[in-house]
Amino acid sequence: MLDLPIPPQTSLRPPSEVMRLRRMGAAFPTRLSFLPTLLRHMAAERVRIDRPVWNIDARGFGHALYTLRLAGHAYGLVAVSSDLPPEARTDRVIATAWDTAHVLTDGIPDAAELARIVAAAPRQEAARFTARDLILSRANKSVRLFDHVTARLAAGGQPDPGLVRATGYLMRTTAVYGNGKFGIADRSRIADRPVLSGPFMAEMLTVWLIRHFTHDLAEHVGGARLDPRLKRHLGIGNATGLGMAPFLVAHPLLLDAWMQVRETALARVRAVEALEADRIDRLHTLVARAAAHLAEWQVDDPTAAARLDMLRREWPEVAAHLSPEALARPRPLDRLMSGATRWSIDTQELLAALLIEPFGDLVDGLTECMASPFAPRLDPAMSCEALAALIAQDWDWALALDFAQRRHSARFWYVSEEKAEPRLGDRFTEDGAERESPLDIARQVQALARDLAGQRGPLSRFLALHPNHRAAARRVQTLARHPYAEIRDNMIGAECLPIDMLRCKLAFFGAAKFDPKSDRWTRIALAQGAPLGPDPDSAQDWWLAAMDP
Amino acid sequence: MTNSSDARSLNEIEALVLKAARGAGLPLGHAEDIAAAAPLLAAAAPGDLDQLVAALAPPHDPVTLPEADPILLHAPRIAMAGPLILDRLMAEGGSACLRTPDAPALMIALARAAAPAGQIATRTDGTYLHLTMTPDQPPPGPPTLAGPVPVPPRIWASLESLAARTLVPESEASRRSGAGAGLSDND
Repeated sequence: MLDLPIPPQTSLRPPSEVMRLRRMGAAFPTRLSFLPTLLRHMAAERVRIDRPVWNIDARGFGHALYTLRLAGHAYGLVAVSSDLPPEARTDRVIATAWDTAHVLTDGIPDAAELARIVAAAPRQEAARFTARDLILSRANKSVRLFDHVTARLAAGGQPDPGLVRATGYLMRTTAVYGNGKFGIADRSRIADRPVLSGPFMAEMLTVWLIRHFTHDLAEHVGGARLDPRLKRHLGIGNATGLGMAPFLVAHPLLLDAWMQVRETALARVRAVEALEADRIDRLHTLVARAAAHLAEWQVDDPTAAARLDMLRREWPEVAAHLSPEALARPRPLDRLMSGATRWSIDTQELLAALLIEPFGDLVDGLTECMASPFAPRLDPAMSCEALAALIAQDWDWALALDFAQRRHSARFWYVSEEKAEPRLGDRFTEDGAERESPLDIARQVQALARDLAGQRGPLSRFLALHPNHRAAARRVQTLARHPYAEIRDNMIGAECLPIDMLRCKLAFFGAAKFDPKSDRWTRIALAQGAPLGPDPDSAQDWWLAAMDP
Repeated sequence: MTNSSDARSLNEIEALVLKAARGAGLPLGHAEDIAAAAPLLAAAAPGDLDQLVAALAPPHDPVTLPEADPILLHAPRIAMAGPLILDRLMAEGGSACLRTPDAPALMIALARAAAPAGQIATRTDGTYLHLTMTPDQPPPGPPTLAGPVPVPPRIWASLESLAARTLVPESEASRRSGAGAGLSDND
């Protein structure tokens, strides 16, 4: 066994700070995010993407097949493009038709398999799939930009860089299903494979290939090639609503793993005693790049716009704090991060993401720790007193809430009969709260604490009398071992912004250019500025990449 | 590979069983335990999913476990009793003897899910199901689960029927504002 020294690190930022929704909702992508991690793996192997089938008509409808080999396994992406009437185009779960439909396959599909998938994929949830189908997805056009790009190409020109910059994608996915949904393969099928064993790696590979398809489709319809500079700035969009939010609640160990990795990376960087010249240069480059990114980023939502304005105002101050004198001091990045509390939460989180970026040699290996094969377990032997002590230690924020006040229980999460779409309701004006989804974690734990008061003996005895507290007890025990497992905010309160949960998860995917449409729906751009091919060097350096002038 | 409409992934089974158990009125924690056990049960013997459906049928009354060791129960309903029996064994040791439990396969799957290192030994003769806490036994290897699993449509329909009780009926207001997005995305 080779013993590697563990790099020094400062203390991790505490969960009481990091696991608040306001801060989670200010997250930025980092080099540890899943798509950048995937691209580094692909670049290291110089993965080549082939396109053995291109059966697309002049108007852009038909199907295509992309293939590649990654870490010893072959994969295919089937893309089906359909003529979607505008009145049918919606990004909501309740949609029944889409511009494009996709399946990532395990292995290369033969003609019969391809025909099966081409028939089934456009039906999405209404069809059934097989265990050789790894991911099911669909995407809608960014109509304005797609039409603009194809029209310009057809006219012998190139699209307006400003429009490319502002939107950032030709299509946006509206669902990317994995892990057994609608009959596709259980995650266990790929859980032991190199690269794809990482969290959401198969999903990231899928959206990466869809990006390629969108480029090829636009060039095909337009009849000309895109300028690579512009093409690189066309990523893949995503429209996300409430469905992503319960995931963080339902998978506490995964959330803990992701957060611990990110915070450990930051702690390692903060412990660096002195910076070499090339790292300093890199930091300056990234600060300038982040400024360009902030200038490109446009949002309509007033709350998001206000945060972005603050970021833009504060960012020059951040740049000023990266002076030669400041960076020559001991542990300069720890000082910088400690002093960052003078700035808004959004600026702090952008800075945290930036500081990790130049230190791939120090942190990239941590990505191996982002998958968790475990599930929360209940320890029935724990004493009631010990459980009560854990609640007092870790759940003060939940105990302080007064659920008799309407604002603390104003909302309820639910799943609609209409295509099982996740939604959020007003408890006091809408029907359905009696069927609410159990995302009221704070209220559950508070109720547990009330009934637990003064109890003695093993938890097994308590739960036999109070079976309604079983889930909450398990969450309390889980948090004691996995300190970043819980969102430390009231998710049924009036102040809860589900968009903060979505952004946190999406940042871990690698998403940027968050463009909220409400407090519970957002569009994002993935891979905007990412390399077009398997170039190992550029795969290392596209964080918040802005378009070359 | 043929595309059988009866084939269900293990994750589909687990997800639907969770909703069905909640829809059946079981406490959330019990629903979670049963859902975690469902893939084990389905992968081992898909025909035993019948037992699971029967076990989920409401009502689900509170269970009082006897104090004595071994725990002796006649015709226990496993959905409520199963997790509590396992809790007692894992916390205090000892054994349990269940005469004609309504879902013995579910009980065995719950034991495997709760104690994957094999600390709870199970034995059945068709009438009695014995569970014994054996912490010193050498643990077996972790179960290797592979989907998909064939699930008879009537079983799936029964589970969906229970799960539907967790869905909120559609309304125009809900459709318009519940998801936070409009109904058209042509920009």
